[in-house]
Amino acid sequence: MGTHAQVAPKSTYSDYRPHFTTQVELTIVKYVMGVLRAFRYWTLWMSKWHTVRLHHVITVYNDMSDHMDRVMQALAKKKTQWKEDLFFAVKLAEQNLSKYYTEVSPTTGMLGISAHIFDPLRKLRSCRKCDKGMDINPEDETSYTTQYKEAFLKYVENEYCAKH
Amino acid sequence: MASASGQLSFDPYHLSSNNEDYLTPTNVAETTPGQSDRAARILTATRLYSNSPPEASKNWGQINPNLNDYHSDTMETSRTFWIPDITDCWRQEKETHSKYADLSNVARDRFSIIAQAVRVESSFSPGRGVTGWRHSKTTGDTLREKVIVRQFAQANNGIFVGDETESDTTNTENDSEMKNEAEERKLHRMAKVHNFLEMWQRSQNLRATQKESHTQNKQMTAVEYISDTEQIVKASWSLFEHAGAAAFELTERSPQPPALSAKDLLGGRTQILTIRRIHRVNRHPVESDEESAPEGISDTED
Repeated sequence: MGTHAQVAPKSTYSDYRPHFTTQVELTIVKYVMGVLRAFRYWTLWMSKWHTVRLHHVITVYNDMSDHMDRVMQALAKKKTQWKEDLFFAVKLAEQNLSKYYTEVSPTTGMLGISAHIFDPLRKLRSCRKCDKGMDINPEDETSYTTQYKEAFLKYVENEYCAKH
Repeated sequence: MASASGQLSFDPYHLSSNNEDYLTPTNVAETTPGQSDRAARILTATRLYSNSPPEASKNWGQINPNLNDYHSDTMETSRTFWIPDITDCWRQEKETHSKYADLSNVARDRFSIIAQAVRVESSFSPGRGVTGWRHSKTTGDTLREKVIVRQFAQANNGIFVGDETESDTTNTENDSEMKNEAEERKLHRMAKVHNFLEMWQRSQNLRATQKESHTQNKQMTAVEYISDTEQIVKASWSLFEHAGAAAFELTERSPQPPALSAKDLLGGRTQILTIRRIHRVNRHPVESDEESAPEGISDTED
């Protein structure tokens, strides 16, 4: 490393100059990378595990949904064309994510739910958090907490106690 | 079996009865007292577990992951991740005979299921559904193309564009088999193009290399290292010294390999080839005197 920065002569890359990324394009790329940071983070986080991680499924879903909600809130009132396009793309991605997430219900995704409740550090904390966000009393019959707890009890009773 | 033919009349245990009541007796208990007791204990532990608040992380010696910490590098912040696994926690519950000890077996059975068994999660890893563990040579491009084509086919109910006319609208078993076969054929054609081109290019390179090495081998066989009579005829005698019989004496400068003794020869093959070589050279009429073998040698060898 010298004291003077070595700059390549301009003629070297002059032919490729039309293909250089403009400042606006670079900003878009950085923004998209920020939007996708949650996916990158959780993918790497999951891949580093060598043990059971089934009980983190709902946590990851919740966090990614929250992240996309925040991104959509930030982009909702933007008028720039690329930001509108990005808002549309994120909206579609959230719909796709919610399509998968809705399958984690007491009737279809009981395995993920039971694994989540079997996590002693969480149990039904995520459900209570959702109920609190929707101003629902966790003790109500319609709350997520009650529904998931009842489903968990039935699941253990029918699937395990009856067969073992 | 016996009652119909009348050959067997003694059946004290009614083994030949086809009555469903015999096959599914109602007078036998479905569960033993021990089993029902254990089930009750598990249910009690489950209720107790689900009604109790979550454990504090410090009691488990674990650290909560930094949620929403997307700006930190995952590879560097691995210390903040939960390193102990949950199965170890439940194993401790069982070993310490805690109040949730009965529930630990349930937890063990749940966590032994891989996450991809859940249908939702399997959609995030479709690659394993395309290539098995034995497909170790499948390239990333091929895998990607296969996944894309399969997902496209699934989005179109398993039918590719242009296939609608081939299959009937009735959903019979034969139709589904035909669809699968057509899909597999298309997949094979579409996904293997890159691999085929690569293989073809590699075979061309290999062929060129073999040709080149074949030319070099020809030059070597011309000096009599390999028993190819055609090449031996074309051998030039300018490589040998014109010293008559002395040229065939084994010296360090001679290009010929050292002669083997009779016991070292394998079936005498090398010896026979040497004789044939000299015989052919003498019979060649085109070559000039300079390139032909000395006359005296052929007599001795024949």
